[in-house]
Amino acid sequence: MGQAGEKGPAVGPQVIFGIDTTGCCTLSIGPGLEDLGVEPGQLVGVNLLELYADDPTAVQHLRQALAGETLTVEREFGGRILSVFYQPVFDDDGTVTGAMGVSTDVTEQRRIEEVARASRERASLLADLSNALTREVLDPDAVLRVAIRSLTEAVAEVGAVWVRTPGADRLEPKTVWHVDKEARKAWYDWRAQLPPRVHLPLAEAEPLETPHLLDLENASGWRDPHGEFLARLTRRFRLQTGLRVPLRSRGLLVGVIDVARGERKGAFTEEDVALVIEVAERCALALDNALLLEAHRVAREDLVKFQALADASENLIAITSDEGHEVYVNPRVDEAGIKVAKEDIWSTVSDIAGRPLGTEIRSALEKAGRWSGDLSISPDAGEMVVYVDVFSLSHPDTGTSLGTGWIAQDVTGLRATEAALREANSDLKQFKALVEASPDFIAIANLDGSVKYVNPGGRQMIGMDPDADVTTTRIPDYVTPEVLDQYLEGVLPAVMANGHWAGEANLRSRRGQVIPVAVASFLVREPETGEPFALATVQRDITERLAAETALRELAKQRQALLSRLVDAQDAERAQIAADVHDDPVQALAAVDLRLGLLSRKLGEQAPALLETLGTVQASVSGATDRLRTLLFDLEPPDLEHGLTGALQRAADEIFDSIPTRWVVDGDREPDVPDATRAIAYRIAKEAMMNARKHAEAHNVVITIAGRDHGLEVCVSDDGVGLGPDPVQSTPGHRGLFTMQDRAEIAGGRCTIDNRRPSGTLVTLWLPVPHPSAE
Amino acid sequence: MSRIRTLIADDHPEMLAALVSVLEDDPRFSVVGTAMTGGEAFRFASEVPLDVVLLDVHMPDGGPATAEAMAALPRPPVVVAISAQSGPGTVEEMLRAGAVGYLAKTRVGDALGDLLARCVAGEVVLATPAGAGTLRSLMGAPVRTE
Repeated sequence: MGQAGEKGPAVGPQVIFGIDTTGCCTLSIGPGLEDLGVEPGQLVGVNLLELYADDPTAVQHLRQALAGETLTVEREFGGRILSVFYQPVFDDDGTVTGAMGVSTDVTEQRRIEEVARASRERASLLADLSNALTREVLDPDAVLRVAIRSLTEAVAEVGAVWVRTPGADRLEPKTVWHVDKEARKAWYDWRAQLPPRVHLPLAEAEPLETPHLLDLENASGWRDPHGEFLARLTRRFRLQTGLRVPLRSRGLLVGVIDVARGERKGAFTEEDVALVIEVAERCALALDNALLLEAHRVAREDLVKFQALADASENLIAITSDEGHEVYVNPRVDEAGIKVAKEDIWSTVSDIAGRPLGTEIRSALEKAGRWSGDLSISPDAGEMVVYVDVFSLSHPDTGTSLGTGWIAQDVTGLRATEAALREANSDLKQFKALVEASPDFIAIANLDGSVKYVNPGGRQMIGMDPDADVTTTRIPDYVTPEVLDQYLEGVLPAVMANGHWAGEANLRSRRGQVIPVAVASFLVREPETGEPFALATVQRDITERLAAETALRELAKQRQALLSRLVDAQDAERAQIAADVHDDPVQALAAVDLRLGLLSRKLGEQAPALLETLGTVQASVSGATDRLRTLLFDLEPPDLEHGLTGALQRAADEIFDSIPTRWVVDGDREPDVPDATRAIAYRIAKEAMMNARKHAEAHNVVITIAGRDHGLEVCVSDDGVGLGPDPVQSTPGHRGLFTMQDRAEIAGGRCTIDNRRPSGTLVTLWLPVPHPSAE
Repeated sequence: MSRIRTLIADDHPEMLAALVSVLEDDPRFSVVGTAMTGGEAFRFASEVPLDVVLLDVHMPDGGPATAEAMAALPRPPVVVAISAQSGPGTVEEMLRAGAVGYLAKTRVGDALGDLLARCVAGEVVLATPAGAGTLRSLMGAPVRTE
């Protein structure tokens, strides 16, 4: 408080008053009475102790003075600040006889003093704040703490800062200060109990343009969390006047400052408001600086992170400027063997992609802002395919161009896999088409016998509906009972053991008809593990084939029968001719021969000169008889009672009779064949033996009879002179060779005639044996 | 020395006449009869004593049966078969029926009397190309010529 000595020239009107020892007023003068609304002398005779009985402080001061104390006090009185000087009045022996008082109105003086003090404080506050702003530029919280503390101390009792939550449409209390230490402590304790949702909606704070008086009188009526908070603050600290100032940075609301006063400080003055605004501006600046710095720092960090990310990426990454200059290229680009032209990215692109595609990419980038596609690059390591994404970079807020981004991903393996997959898929489709188009019955079943698939051809074969669900059927539904037994006992074990089975079986149609089929069944294995997981079968309808086979067999049988009849008829005719020749011409010639013999004897006795002539006649008859005999031998049907071997032995005996040629018939391996076949073989072999006798001059003739290739083989070989270079063509007069071949071919066989080495002839005859009377 | 009493049986008239002429011209033989069937030959042989019968193999009533029947006579004559056929089977058949000679008609020439006389004398005469084969067959030897 100000002292008397500090009073300056601006001292206001004074009042001089006096009291006696009882407190009764004895003097009341001075210009100050007018300001108090009292006439000079009006209070004389009034007991002041009684007058101010309801003002204990005043009574106290009066009594102190009457007790002999000199004192100066400053009082507020009637809205004015009065400085009162009390002086006791003593008599000569020092006894108090009363007291004098001088009251000076120092209201104006005090006001001026207060303004000066406040100005000093404010200047100090702002200086502190500026220092803090400089010092704590990276710590906006510290700046706010200094600001709200100083501001509150200067102009208020309670101060708070609300700061906008980044990314949210609200403000949250940041710092609260109370001038009283105890109150601060209580506040901290109390704050812990605050509801966590306390915030100031942005919509409420945003419209605040100027300092705004908070209506604390009605705060208790507020219902939102923020209002409730203010209401509780108001009650807690007995606040009366509040002021809210927005913190704006470049037009953007970043927070608000609240300051409030109780009754002690009264209403805010213009200076207070000005100070609050000034502090708010500095706080906003601090917040903005901090936010900018933070944003910059974050951006810088992000940049480093992104670059590290780009450096570490497997992809080829580059950024170029609008002019085509290199801004950033990650190490993969160089590793891929690409030399980027630092001043001209488009020449690099043309080098890799070729000029037309380079132009296309550039054009797409200019028109659509983006191009993507595969490029083949040929680095040192070998061919490489990359999927390239080229795009224009622009600032998210301003939209200004920031250059071009390039990302290329190595898709060599991926494309190869895709191609392989496409090919595999295509193969699969082809196989499927093949199976779908096949007229055969093609089916797949699980190992438990449940059917998974039957192709359209198979369905048609067994009369099944093309859309029928086969997954409800089982293998036994498709086969005859006998085939099922065969399947369970033979086929299935064979398939499981060997992986496949082939043979003939029967399918059963939906109508119960039996369809003969040629079957190939096999196990389907998992390609990776080799584990069997299904049975597959391909079955071909062989009804027509079986019919054709039967017809063929029938035909062969008929042919054999025909051949037999032919041979029989031929033999019968030959036998008849032989018998006729034998019965008459032979007998007649024999009779002539006998009579010539008789004649010869008689001529020898009676006319020996004629004997020579008779000899010629006898020779002619004998020759004719021999030729007739040979003819008979040819005509004679073979006697097959002792088999082909026996017949050929008799023939050889006859043919090689009376000549030195030795012969052997080896018939140990003679097969059992029809007589017709043996008869044909007999005639051909006999012809061969007769040729050997007539032309070969052989020492030895060997005849072998054996079964070969479902037929009968007879070989006649000699060690004679042979038949020359081309046995069949080059030897004149051997019509018998053609006859042999003709006979063999008519019977469905063949006859070959070859020269032997070192000399001789080999006749090989083969005749088929009709099914089923095979060897 | 008396003449050999001979019966000639052949169904071919010319052959029969030639045979008769040849043997009648031969002083060793007396042709006591002829026959043109097997039956006739047998009846004649059973009534008239004979030394030898020249028997055609192929004639009515058959050669082998006639030979067999004659062999059963109380005094059987020597039976010599004569034939224009010379299959081994036929030769063997006649030999089994009791014949001791087999003459091929086309091979006899002027030797008929000699061959017949040798048979009457007890020889076996197989004047036929099938003779050797028949013999081997009858003896059960391997049918083979080395």
